[in-house]
Amino acid sequence: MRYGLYLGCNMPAIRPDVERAMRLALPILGIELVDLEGYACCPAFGTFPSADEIASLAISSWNLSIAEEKGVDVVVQCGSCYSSLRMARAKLLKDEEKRERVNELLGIAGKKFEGKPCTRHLIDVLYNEVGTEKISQVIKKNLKGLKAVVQYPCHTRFPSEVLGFDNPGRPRMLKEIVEALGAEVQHYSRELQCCGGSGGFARQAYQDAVKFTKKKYDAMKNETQPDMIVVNCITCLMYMDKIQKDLSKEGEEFSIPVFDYAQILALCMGFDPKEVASISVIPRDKIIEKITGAMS
Amino acid sequence: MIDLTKANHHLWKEIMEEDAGDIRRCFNCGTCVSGCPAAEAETPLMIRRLVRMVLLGLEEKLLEDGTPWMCVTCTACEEMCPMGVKPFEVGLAIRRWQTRKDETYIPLSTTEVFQTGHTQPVEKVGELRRSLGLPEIPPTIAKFTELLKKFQAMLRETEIVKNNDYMFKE
Amino acid sequence: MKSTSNETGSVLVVGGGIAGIQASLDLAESGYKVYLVEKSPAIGGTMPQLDKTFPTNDCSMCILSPKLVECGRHLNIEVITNAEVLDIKGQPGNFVVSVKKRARYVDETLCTGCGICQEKCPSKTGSEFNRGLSQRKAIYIPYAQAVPNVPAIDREICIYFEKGKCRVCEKLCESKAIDFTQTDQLLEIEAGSVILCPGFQEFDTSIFTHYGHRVFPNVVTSIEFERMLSPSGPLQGHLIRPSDQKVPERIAWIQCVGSRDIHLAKNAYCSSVCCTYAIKEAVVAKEHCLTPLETTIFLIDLRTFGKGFERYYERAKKDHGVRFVRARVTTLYQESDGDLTLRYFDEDRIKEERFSMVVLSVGLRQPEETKALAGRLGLKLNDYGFCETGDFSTVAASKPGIFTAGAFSGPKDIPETVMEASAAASEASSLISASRHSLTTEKQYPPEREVTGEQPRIGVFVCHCGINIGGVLNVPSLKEYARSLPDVVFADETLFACSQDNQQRIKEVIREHRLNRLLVAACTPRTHEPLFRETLREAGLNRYIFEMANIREHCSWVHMNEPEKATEKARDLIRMAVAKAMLIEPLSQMSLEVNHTALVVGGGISGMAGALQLAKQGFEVHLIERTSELGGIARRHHHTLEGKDVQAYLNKLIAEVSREPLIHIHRETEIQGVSGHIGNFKTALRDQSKGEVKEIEHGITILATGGDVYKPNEYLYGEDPRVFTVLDLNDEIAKGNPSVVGSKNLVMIQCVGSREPERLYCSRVCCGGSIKTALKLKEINPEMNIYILYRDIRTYGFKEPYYQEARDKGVTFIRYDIEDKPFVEAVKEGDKDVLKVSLKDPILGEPVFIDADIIGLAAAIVPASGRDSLAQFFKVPLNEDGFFLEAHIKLRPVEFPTEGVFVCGLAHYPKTIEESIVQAQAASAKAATILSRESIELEGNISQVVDENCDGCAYCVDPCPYKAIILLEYMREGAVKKTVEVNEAACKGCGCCQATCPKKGIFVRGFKLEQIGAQVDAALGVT
Ligand code: SF4
Ligand code: SF4
Repeated sequence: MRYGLYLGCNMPAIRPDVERAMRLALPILGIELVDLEGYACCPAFGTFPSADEIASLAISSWNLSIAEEKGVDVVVQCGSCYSSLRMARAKLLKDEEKRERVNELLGIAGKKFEGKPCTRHLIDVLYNEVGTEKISQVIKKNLKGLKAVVQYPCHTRFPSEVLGFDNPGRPRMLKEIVEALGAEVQHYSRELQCCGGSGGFARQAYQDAVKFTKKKYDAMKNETQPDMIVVNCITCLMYMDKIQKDLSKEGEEFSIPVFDYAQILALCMGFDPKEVASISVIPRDKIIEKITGAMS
Repeated sequence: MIDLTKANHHLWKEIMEEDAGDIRRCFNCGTCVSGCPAAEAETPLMIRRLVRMVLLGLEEKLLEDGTPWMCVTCTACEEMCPMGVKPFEVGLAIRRWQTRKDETYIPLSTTEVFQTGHTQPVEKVGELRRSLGLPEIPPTIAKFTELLKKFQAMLRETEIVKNNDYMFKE
Repeated sequence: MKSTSNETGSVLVVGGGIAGIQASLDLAESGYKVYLVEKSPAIGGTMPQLDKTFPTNDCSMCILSPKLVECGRHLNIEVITNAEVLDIKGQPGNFVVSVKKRARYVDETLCTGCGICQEKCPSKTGSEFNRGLSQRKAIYIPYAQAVPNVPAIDREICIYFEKGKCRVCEKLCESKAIDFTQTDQLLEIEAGSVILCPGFQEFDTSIFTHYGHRVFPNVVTSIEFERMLSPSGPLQGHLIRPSDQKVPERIAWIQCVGSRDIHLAKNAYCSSVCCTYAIKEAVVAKEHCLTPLETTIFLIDLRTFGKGFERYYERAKKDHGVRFVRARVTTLYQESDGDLTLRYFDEDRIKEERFSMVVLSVGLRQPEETKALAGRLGLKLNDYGFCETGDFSTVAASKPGIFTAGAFSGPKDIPETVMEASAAASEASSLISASRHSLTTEKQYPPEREVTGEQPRIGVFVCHCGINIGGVLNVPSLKEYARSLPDVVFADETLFACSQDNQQRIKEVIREHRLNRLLVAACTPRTHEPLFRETLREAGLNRYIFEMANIREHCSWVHMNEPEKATEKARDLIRMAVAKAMLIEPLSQMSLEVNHTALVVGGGISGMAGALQLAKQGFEVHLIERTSELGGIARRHHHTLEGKDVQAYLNKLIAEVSREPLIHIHRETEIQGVSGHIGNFKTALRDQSKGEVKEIEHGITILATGGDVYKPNEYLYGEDPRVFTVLDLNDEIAKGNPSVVGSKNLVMIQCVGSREPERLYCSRVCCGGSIKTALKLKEINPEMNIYILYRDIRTYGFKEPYYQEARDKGVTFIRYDIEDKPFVEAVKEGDKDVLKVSLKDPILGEPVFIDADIIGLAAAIVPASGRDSLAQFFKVPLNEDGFFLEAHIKLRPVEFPTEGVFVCGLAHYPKTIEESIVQAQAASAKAATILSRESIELEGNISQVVDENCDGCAYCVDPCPYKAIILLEYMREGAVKKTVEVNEAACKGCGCCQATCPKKGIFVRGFKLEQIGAQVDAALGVT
């Protein structure tokens, strides 16, 4: 299994511990990671896709062409990178005229888009290519005794025709790979509610976005007793972590540790928490201690 | 009172460009809004209303409307729309049209991506990265100045950069 | 009329739902042998699964049951269950159909239906009938009133077939009916024509993962909900929700699940029935809950377009408090207590609301196996997987001699299905009419036992009607009570008195106890009396020694919240009925010869189609048209929505009708008077042009008097020449009027005169009509801006894709509320005169206006003038809107309480041309069941003169609404004696005469004064 590792912009800049976790943990599962040297922003929906479609497609295919040169499919953790790259490819494969225009542009940079490489989300690769059994086998420590809730990235669910791999209305793959690490995954009513962190909503109307997300956290708190929230999307990770401070301003205290899946995976494999899980707003030390202390 | 007769009846084509095919299918069911996170804002993003404005040709109103920029890009609306309208894409198309009509709409992040290849300063967190055992600069376009040049050269040929070149600095 | 001909005088009907049953009965009644092939072990189809039916809230099973039983015991209907059609060979008129009949492993002739086998069978699976909400066994009778009431073994789960051991059923069956040696059989059946009514399936919810059906226990489909409501269902009608068996407090319906969804569901059509069934379910659910229940229906457009549906909707809203929310819901959160939080967009903001349960209004589709059947038979399917039908004949499949009825050709409700069934029967029989009666046998009854003079021996059956009665009344105590009454020698309770096995039981009890009176305390004689009377005849008794006490409509339904008092009332009713039963006597019936000629009133499409159908079957027809031209309102239609050429069809039809020697056309002719009755009418026709009156004799009458267009007095109609009705607009378009086809901005306003308090019905055709006009205009002038202002777009069925096409072509649709109608004024805009139309656009939430050049008003369809006198002439009722009111809105959609008179087309209710034709064919099928007979029997309970008492005062003559009484004088003992005489054929037994006679000189048989008096005494406790 060889995949081009597409990190996006946020992860290497703001949460590089997740990058480290991926780079360390995935090879142990037999995933060989190839760097996509020279990749740029996916581009994020708020950038070129909101200004110039052809430019936006050109940038996506710039990224995909790198994978194409390397002869690999792409694996990505960030939900919107996944969505952006995947939707761009689908559009270009469907629309010959756009493809030509994009290739003209790419030609300026000496690149070409043929659309061979496929972009896969990490959950998809872990569940469908690696499998939960393998995950359970290789880990040295586990999450037994820990309760988790999971956050499915919206961008991996919709539009299901273009990018779905799980059941869009009732996804379960993230849950199962978390369970493969030994945690108990608890379901709550608003599990599928969007975190609210992506795009302009939280930027332009933060207070309203907080209210929106509070409903999710209230439900989580009332219906489950999670030791942690497991996500697999950089926006979910940063937002669901950061927002708890602002939620707490309204009275009730929220401090549920948020982990990326790659981080708990790396921890279960015995990697150093200082490298793979060192950046967060809500302190995660207690959970990390529990994991690193636990023997498989 | 809005004068529908004097509206721009071709606005939908102007906005949707080549992808205009399906927007007219909309039958106003509201499914798109019903699953939209940003519809809960005080000044809500009502994607159905935006689709409506496009279809009715309410150019001026639409040009003033900032709500398309509230979209969280979850694409739930696109998934659920029974008519295959792709409201999410309509939202993006409106943004593009707005930027074409009025350059103040151009997101600054666009110029950042042009300038650095990224929305985040991936090359400026060397210390942190090193402390985690990672190379100081990730193997992205930030690391390869030559590539960034080519990248910019490519984007120079796009409409948005061509028309607003003063905003896009290297 | 027996004849010898080469065509086979039998019809094979595929599918034993209401369509198949109705078609079979119509055919068998008009002289054809019928093979009814059903794939499951019992006939009945979907109707037995439903609780109540809209818009009358009749119990579905209750109205179906008599037909089921009739079908099951009809001598000329051979019901072949557990069977499927493999292939059809041969030509129309002489088909050979190969049918595979799967082994039932139960001998139908030996089984008594005792049910011990299914009680003891150890192997279980989810019951298909109850949609998995309960279990059934490997040997099972699909439902309580199944016909045949014989179990079948499901080979898939039978332990014996799997492991070679068990055979418990065989050991326990006392009748030795279990037969494991049975094998599948291949039957070759000869039939002159074939009717396919395989029905439908509801959408598979698994593609809509977000609704959580089968994941969230309290999310159910509408059909599951029907089973939950149904008295015969697993909950016995006590509505509780699946997750915790609590009584729900708030239920939400989500409409259009799978319908009108070209994205996830990939279905462009509307399923037509879901809006009205959701309303029904909401209303009925409230009735089923003893605690207050809030109901909310989430919808896109509300489509109550059928007869009586709009009123039903208004009642649901106003009287029952059903809430309607125009929003489509896709986000459901299941709370920890099982409630579901729905997130929706309510015009201008997001709302979240909690419900105890959610019902998904799933639409109708064609299952793969039916498509495969169509494939085997080489029939074409349309784009949506339904059977393709002929241009204007929606019951003709794509191969000659093969017809279709019901949902096979498109989603439709029960009345339309029933109409199509009759229409298909009519078509199927006209093909082989020369062989009528060639394969049928006449039913032989045992000789009637003389009971007059015997001491009354009354047998009483008290019916539970599932829980319809038993859930409220104390039935066992009623049985005991009945037993204690004088002359009652037998009393028992029964789950369903009308089921087929109970008819057997009644006959046995009659024999065993030598009963000479039968009393059934159950439901209404209106629907069920004929059934029990037939059973009496089969038992060798006169059919009139029968009494019914209606303890359902009069007790358990109206007093459902007061069970004790209701039981008390039921006791009174039973006591009264017994008191009367003691005095009832056998009655004899007169038989009348039938005149084989038909009269069809109205020369529009319906009238002509009906006349032609009858002529094809060999009957003579008089076709009356009051204008000088045939064609009716269809003359003003150019194309249908689907693009079919109306004028071409009309001309063809007129030519055919004119050519047909059996049809006598009377133009410019009106009816002046009618006398007579079923079998022998005499009608005076007045030729307006010549001023002549002539009388014709006929056996039946079809009223096809058509409809008219409402003349609007709103929106400047009649004041401003630029305001047209849409129908006028079509004429202008056809003429090429440049100010119309060249206009820049054109507005059409829907529901003008419809869905208003004074005309509380939907005219059904206008949405499709305006869209048709818009598409035509767009074709001529693609740049024209067309706005359609509507309240709900009601493009039901396969009309929905045209609504989509109109949007695709840029037609703008703006919804308005009845409280806030568009405002139209003629103004000067600059130097231009325009019609300024202003209204609020609900999507923008802001007022908008259009400077229109032309306005088209979608004016209501109203019944044609002259209907009042016709209603009087033929003694048939009109509804509050002036349309003819049929005998039963569900199951007798073309008949009247007055026998021998039928209705079709716009005279019945607004409908499309195709629908009118179907109804006309249905009316002619019903007419043929009478015209094909040599004689008919009249009712026995009609009036009788007591000459000694009558002094000839003639008080009774005028009140008789049927003009059945005449005054006469004769010589008696040398003096003139005045008296009255009753025309028995005209008398309906209404009793007006008896009520007016001061001298006891006339009475109605079966309702004699002393009989009624005995009831009154019993009611008052005077003995
Ligand atoms: S979901 Fe689709 S059809 Fe419905 S209002 Fe939104 S865009 Fe229109
Ligand atoms: S994609 Fe945008 S507009 Fe559509 S539902 Fe998500 S946030 Fe709303």
